[in-house]
Amino acid sequence: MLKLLEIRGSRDIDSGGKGMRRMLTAEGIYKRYGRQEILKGVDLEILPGTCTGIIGGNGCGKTTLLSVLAGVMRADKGRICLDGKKIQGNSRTYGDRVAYVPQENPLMEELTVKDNLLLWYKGNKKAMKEDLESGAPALLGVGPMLKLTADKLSGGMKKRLSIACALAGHGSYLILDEPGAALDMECKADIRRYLKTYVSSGGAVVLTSHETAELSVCTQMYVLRGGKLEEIGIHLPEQELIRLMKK
Amino acid sequence: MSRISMKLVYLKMELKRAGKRILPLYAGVALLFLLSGAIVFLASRMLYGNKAVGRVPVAVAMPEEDPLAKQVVRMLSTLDSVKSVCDFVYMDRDSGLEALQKGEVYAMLDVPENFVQDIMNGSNTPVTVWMAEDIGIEGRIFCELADAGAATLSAGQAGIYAGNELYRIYGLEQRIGGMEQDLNKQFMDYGLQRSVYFRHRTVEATGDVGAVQFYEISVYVLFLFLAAIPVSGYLLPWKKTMVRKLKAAGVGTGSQVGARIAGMGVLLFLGSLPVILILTVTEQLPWNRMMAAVWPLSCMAAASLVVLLYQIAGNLLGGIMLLFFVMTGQHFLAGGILPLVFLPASLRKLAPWLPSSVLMDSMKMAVSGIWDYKCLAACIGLTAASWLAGVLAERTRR
Repeated sequence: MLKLLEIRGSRDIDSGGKGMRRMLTAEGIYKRYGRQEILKGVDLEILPGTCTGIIGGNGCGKTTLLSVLAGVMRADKGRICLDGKKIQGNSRTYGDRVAYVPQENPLMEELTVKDNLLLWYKGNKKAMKEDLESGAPALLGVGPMLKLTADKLSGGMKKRLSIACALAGHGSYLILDEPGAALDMECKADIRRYLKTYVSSGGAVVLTSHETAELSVCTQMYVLRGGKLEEIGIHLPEQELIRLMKK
Repeated sequence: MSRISMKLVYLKMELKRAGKRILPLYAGVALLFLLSGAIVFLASRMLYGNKAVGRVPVAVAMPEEDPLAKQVVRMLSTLDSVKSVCDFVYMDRDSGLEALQKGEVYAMLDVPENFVQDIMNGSNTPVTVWMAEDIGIEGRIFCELADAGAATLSAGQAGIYAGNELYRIYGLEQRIGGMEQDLNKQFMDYGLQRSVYFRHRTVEATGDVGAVQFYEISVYVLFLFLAAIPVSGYLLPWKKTMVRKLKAAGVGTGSQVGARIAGMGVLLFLGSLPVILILTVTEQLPWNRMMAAVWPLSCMAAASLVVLLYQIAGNLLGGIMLLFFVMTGQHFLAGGILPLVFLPASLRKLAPWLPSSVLMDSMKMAVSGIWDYKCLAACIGLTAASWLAGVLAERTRR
């Protein structure tokens, strides 16, 4: 049995006697860079066991939205709730519960894979060892490359390591920004396989992508256009997705 | 607790990252020492010509038949202030000028006929001082000495002439000779004893340490700054996403910059270890508790400045350029290449506020063995201010 199945909250949580449904929600999110308003009231609901895909043209604000959802960037206006608790601007609570994998792999390139993992496991060697045997790092195939330095890894290996690092806290929400960018087909397939396992274990995935194959794992899809999200159907052909993005 | 442990783990990882750069650092250090050595060598050539500072040979040409003049000049040559610097070489006028042209002497004193008698009768025929065109530091020292001597003698003469005048007014002409002897004795005993002021103190252009130690300290401080160049990769600021992820995990900007300073400080400490060891074993540098405190402190202060400059630059090339130009520039202005006394007065006012001055003063303190808490406080203050500025730079960069 893989430890991934133990991700937090595979059932509804109970906080202070009030039953609260597990979910990550964004309500009326606004974000502006200088005079340009990128997000203009985004609403989104992420439920356990789902994979949410977000598409949109370059520069439409996908990365900004994911950063706000992941708690690494503050929205100008709006509310982010995690399992019913407002956590906008309180990144401390994000650390473990939401795993974020940005486009650029946040790794210490000079250090070994093991050291990179150890950093995000906060020095907890025991937990890391257990996960290397039966957790996300094991599923992602990180184990055999522990002694290699990160700068010696291929793009695909770095991405797997980044995901493993992000999931060190056994977060129940995994947010990935274009996880397959610049990776070979085999690596993309491996990551897709992992995401399916993660979702089927009760985790929730949010990802952005420009590739239909990658979006095939999604159980709900949105297009980000004009600073707002609009739900679209899943498994749509590429031409239809392009049309929706341009609409 | 978890946030503290995350910060400690992050610090550990930063130190590990720094440790990986130790070999490139040593390779860079060897190159830097060659460069620094060349800079100091060129500076000393510029300052001292191609000769080391030594004694100042001075030709003295005197009239053949004037035993009184010879007696006066010989007496002058025995004064502490003269004999500590100058060697008088007696020769005729033509030989003296020839020696001056060949560079065998730095100056020639051409003593006129009836020199002493003219002093006595008040006509004061001057001694002509010949100097070479390219006089160098020794020639300048002699100029200063001759000016000071002339001023002292003229003050003495004025006193004797005033005495003469007074004795005449009161009709005591027959006692003038005795009065002059007394005044001469008093004057020689008190007025010309310049050596008294220097008896217990060695005056150096380089301050409280000797010239060799001054340049050792100067090269060491410049090394601390420039040694970062071979390990520039370590100093590159994190990408935004990494900064934000670390922040979300409990490692704020202050901790990130602080850990980077600690890593760089350890690198500089390890990088300077062989140099300090060699200098200590060869007794070029004293080893004491003060040195044990100042050395790591100087590494941390230098590291904080280096980290700040890379935070401001934000990229590899910018960091290297900024570090090189800012640090060598301020090192020059701080009197690290040419001692401060040789720089214009306006620049000297700026010097105490420059990082190189702070670090050099701290090292001088350690070398001279005299505790100066202001130096230590300045060093700690420099580190803290650079850390703070680094945090601000990082926040602005984002």
